[in-house]
Amino acid sequence: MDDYLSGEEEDDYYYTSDQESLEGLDHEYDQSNLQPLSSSGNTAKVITKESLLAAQREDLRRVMELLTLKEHHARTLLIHHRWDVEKLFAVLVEKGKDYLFSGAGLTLVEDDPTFSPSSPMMMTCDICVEDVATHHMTRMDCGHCFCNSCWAAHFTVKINEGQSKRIRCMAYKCNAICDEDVVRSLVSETQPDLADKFDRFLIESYIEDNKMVKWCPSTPHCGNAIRVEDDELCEVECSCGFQFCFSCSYRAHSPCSCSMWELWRKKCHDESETVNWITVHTKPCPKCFKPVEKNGGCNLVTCICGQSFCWLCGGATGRDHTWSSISGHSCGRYQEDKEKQLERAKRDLYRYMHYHNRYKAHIDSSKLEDRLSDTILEKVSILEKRQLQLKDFSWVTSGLHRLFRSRRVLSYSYPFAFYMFGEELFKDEMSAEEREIKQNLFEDQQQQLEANVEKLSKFLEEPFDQFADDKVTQIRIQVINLSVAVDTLCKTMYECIDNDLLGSLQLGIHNIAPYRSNGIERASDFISSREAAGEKCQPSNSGWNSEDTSCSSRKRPRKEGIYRNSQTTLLDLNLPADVIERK
Amino acid sequence: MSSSGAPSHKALSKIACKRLQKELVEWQMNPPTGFKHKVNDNLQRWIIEVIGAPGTLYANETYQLQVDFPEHYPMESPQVIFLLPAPLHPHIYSNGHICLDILYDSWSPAMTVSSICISILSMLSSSTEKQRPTDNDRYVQNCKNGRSPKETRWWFHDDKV
Repeated sequence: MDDYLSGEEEDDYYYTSDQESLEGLDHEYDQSNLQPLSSSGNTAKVITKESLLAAQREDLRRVMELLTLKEHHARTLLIHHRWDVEKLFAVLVEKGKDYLFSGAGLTLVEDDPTFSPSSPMMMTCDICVEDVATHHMTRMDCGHCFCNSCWAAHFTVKINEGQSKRIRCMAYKCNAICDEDVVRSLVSETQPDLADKFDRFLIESYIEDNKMVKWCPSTPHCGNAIRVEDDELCEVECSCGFQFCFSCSYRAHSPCSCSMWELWRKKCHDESETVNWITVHTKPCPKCFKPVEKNGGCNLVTCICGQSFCWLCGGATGRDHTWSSISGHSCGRYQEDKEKQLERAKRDLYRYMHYHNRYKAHIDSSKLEDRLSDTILEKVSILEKRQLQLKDFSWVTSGLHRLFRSRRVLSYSYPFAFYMFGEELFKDEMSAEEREIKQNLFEDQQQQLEANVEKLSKFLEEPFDQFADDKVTQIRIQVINLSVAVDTLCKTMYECIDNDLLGSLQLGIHNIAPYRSNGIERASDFISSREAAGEKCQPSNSGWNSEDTSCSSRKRPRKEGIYRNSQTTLLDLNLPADVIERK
Repeated sequence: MSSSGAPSHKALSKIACKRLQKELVEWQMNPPTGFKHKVNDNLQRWIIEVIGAPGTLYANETYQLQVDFPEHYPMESPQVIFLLPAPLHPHIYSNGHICLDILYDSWSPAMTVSSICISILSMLSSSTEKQRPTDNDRYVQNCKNGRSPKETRWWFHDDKV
């Protein structure tokens, strides 16, 4: 690692890597039209309260255009098919339009001649059995006609039951879903609040009933949802700054699989191991029931309450004893099973503690390093004020970013190893030898990564703002090269996990989000294709009032705000000034 | 309070009142065959006598139905149970609860007490053996605290019986 400090001819290499590490950071910008969208590209979108309607409209339009439908009919179809437009189209192609419509409770009828202006002025409503003027009655698409107050009462009951998305017609055995415009207008006459609730339910259905969209799990909730394009197995960062695993909605945890992370969280949370320790190392006093630990000596134990008892069986005894026996007490039956159990519990505990300590250490380090970002920016500004040969300090922030990223990978690699090489999950998947080989392979990589991460951390913490020109240059080279090395090591580790470790298992339920050099994908703001094309999308009757919208993503400051600002600088320096200068 | 399920304590809404009065008038003029409404002054709880149809397993047997109407009847379904002793039937539990879809999921505001009664009688008439549902004991155990059948998630038996 130290051999890249010399040799002018290697300079080219440094600049390449400098640029590489720079490119690694501009992920916020590579979503532009300049690059084709690929699975590794930026495809996740933040859907805010404001853009939710536009996002929904985009899918609605596709269905409306293909089937020449009204918006509410398209919505009924989409809700029925959980907003999966492709699936909906597949049903249309395979089973036909009638099947598609009737399955979703959509009935489209031609104008019913019995209900024309020439109809009698009064009709009997079958629900309230009153004679009602026809202009106070409403006929649903399915042809069933009831009076407006009965409809309104029906809608009220259903919305309050939380059934906004699929309110059926009142007629017996009629499967039709009520026209949402009718629901909205009849309910809002008397209960505008309830009409808003209805609208909100409909709009939120786009999130609730859609496997490609999830609420950001941040607490307090930022109000955003994230939509991913094709792969649900990914990690994503919301515009509020919260990074989460899209599959399980917990904080991003790769290279742990979702179920490993779930187990680990529970394990750490309920401190079952502490309980284990107590069971293994202590026995309750037969008098006061406090746990008593024996740290040596003979088997006669005395609790602080004064009670003596036998350590072997836990029974109360007198105080009279020799090294090998307690007077008047014998429980000398040897219990091999019990002993083995204790040994096993002890071993499991030490194993857990080993992994947990390392996991915790890296989590703690990353918390400390969070503070580093403030001081490091100070250092950069000090450097910038000095008249140094070196003008480009983007390597500092790139290095810092790399440090944060790899520190996280490192900490989550410990719970991964705990489960991967433990007996809890994959006991029968590998032979002992196989496990040992794999464990060695993994731990070698882990240790290499760890060593480099620590080095990187050390260099970034140096007071390089006070250093002379040549020393700053040296630090820069170190940071750049370590960044590249650490990135490569992370990538290798993920590949190893994917191919050699998890990939070789029979049970395919453990999957990890792919490693992204650029860091966890930051979801970009949703811009509807129409809006992008210049057509303004009006968020009408959305059910959000203006006060609601104030709770948008902008309200919450970004946790990594400092960082983001610095990235603007980074981009501008995509071609470092000193490269050009030196040439 | 009844031991067999507490109905909604809320008074009937205006729509419910008007509609029930009309149903009552209609019933008195044109009662469904095999049923007798025991008139009382409580519009919210009807007690109806059912007489098993001739030529069926329940011929000449008399049972009593208790119908409780919720605040938002007919938008919400009424609670219908048999008073004890309930008829022996594969869809009727020994606590009087009836497994019949129109009383729960398939309720429609267009249905009436009369139409419910007719459905129940037809359910009785088509039975071929007098027995309790197979899960009777478990179900009745679960309903101990006077739970309403409307709180049950029903898994409807076949509709042949």
